[in-house]
Amino acid sequence: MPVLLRQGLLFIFLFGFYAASYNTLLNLRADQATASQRSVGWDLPPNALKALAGEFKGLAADLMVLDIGAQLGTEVVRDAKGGYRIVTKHFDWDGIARLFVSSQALDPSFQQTFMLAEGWLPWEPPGMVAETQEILKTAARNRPWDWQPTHIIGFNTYYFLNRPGEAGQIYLEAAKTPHAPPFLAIIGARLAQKGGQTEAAIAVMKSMLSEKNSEEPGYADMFDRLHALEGVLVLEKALQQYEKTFGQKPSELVDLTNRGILATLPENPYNLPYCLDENGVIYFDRPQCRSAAPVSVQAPQ
Amino acid sequence: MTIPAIEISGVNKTFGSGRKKNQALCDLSLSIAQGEVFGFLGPNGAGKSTTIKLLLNFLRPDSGFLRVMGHTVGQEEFRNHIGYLSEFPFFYDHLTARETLLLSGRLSGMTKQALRERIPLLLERMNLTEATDRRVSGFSKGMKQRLGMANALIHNPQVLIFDEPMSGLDPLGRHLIKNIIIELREQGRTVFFSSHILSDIEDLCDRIGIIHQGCLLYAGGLRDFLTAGSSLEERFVSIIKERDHAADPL
Amino acid sequence: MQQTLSNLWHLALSTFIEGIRHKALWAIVCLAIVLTMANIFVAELFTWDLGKVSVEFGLSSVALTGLLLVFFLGMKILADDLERNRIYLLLSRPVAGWHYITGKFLGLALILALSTIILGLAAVLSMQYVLWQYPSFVPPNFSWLTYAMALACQWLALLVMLAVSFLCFSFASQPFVALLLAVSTYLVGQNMELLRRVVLENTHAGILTGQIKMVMALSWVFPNLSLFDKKLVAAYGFAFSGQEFLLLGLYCLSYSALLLFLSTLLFNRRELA
Repeated sequence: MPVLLRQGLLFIFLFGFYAASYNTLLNLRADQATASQRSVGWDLPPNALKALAGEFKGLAADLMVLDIGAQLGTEVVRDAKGGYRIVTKHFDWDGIARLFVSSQALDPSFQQTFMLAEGWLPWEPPGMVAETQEILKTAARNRPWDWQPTHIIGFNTYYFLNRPGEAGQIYLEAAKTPHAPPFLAIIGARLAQKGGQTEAAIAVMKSMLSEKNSEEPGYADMFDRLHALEGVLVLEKALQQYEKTFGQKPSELVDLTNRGILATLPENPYNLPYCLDENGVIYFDRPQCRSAAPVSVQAPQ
Repeated sequence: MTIPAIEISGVNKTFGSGRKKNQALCDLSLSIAQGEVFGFLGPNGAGKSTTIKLLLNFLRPDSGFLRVMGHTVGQEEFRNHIGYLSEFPFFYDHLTARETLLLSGRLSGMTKQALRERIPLLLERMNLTEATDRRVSGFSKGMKQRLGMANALIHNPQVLIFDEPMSGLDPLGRHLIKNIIIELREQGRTVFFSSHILSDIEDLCDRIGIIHQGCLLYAGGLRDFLTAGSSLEERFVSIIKERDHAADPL
Repeated sequence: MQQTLSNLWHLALSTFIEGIRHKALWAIVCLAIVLTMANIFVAELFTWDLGKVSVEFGLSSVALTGLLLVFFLGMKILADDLERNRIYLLLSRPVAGWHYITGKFLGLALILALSTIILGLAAVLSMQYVLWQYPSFVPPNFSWLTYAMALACQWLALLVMLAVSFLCFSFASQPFVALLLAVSTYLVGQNMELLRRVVLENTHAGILTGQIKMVMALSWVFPNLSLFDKKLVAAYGFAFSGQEFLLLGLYCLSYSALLLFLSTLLFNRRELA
């Protein structure tokens, strides 16, 4: 057998052996890999991570955030008919939250960390609002020039925790940051006082929506909330008009259309009727606001 | 009375410790007058290189002292007086021949002007003119050896110490080095060189020293060493054998 | 005196020339090009704070390359001097031990300065691109002066590491052992500040509890390299006072001088067989 042929055969044999074993290994890993296992590699106490990263802490933080970003996201699965459906993956949310905290331990100032955390953690699932607030507070402390972390803390306090007064104070705090946009102060002032809250809430929604990607969780919720609030605002203005014209408050919202103040009632994106209670407050999420005893209401999910 | 160029007195040197202890030199004493060409002979591992390294203060003696031109090695600065060529000269691979000599000359306290004149002369003498601006990494063994010789001579020292100067040279190179040693003798320089090539020693030396297993067996005139009719080789072999028998009478 | 200065200068110069003619320098230039390209792509992976990512990446690449230079080029030149008896060439002339050590150190320091400048400038180019493409992600207090100061600090840290490797070399007989010692010192030095803080601020620091004195002693022995790490400062444009910069320079100078002095002591006792 010529030498060249022998060497060629040997090479093919060795390469085949290598390809087979490597491929088997990769398949095995693909079978085993779940989200919970993927986050394990980084799952170390913050001080250990700092020690390992040495002078490359910033780079390590960047890498971790990229890793989180790669883990998150929805998966698109094609079906036989040529269409596709979106599958929400099951994440190890505790692990991911720890990753965010670890990344922040390495680089507490990184914007990508808190923005990505806000984009996923407070929403359902996993609804980790408290954890998100902690991440944002760390970011706010380490980014004294940036109004955004405080602004987002304010938003979460209003939207998820349903504490408009406290949220207003936080917005006012954010407004003090250098270069903060003027709308923060306006929102803050309105949320902090009683009354005028609807307009403030609309501004909150708009400011957050402008930063949010339509594929991120929570976008549709916020979009619906914005429209519901806009409906409430229309009704509130019509109420004032009604009071000016007839000298008294309407007893029901249909009075507004019956007596010609509004042509039609605004549409409620939650497919519920708006409701006016005895004190003249309009609700988009409590159709039985008059009869029923006060129910503690969370933001619609 | 003039001071000797090299004076070695009662030097002992051991390497290692405990069981691996190895006596490299035992009570070595030698004196070499100025203007002499002294050949240092011995089989491999006899202690020739050790002696030379002690002379250059690369190694420190356990006892005894060494002097070069009256300066005690290790206590006073003596290195301006010597030119040294090591057995395997290594250079900075990425410097050229000219840069290598420039560095050596400047370290020996020469001026730039003096070097500008001397470097081309020396390189020409060593047949290295072509290679002046080539990097040393491309040099053959023989070229490196010749550059090493130029390097030893650059500052025109009084005393020259060569460790196996002919090793690795072709016949032309050996001829060149021999002629240089003869020239140095004519200029009145002192040359101390080690070798195990007997014919070179025979051609060049006034006096010789023979060392074996760290002990000096003979030091004196070459003529006196050769008994009538015998060659250096026969005498050398017989003195080494005598010594081995004395140490190990079986 | 004049001869001393001349010796130092010529030893430094020859080391520098030997170093930059080494293939390693070309490898660095190629690395600089690759990292510059990479910087642009890496920054594109992020959505926010692109400026920070770019500056951080640029300075990290300077640090990494510098370390490779110290550990491989620097230590190779030293190892070759000793192993291949090249040192006879120098020490058979009126060159004191401390001339040799200091001259080598200065020459290698120059090489490190050159590579820091090349890589630093390459990083500036890619950063400039990122900052120009995404002006809204430039940190508000970002300044090129702070960047230059951070770059200089990176160089100072490399000088400290260089001095450490000199000491390791005078200490260890095998180049591999010297490399191992130098790398371990680097790892410890990077975490000295962390360790100090853990012990000082945390009373329940596991095995370290009650070892404050030992840790404090260690922190005086090992170089505190993390103090020179100003990557985040430059990346976010945090305040970096001239005073701190000056003190870092003094710390680097005094610590390196001390290590070189010790290296010389050890080196002079060493036999060059």
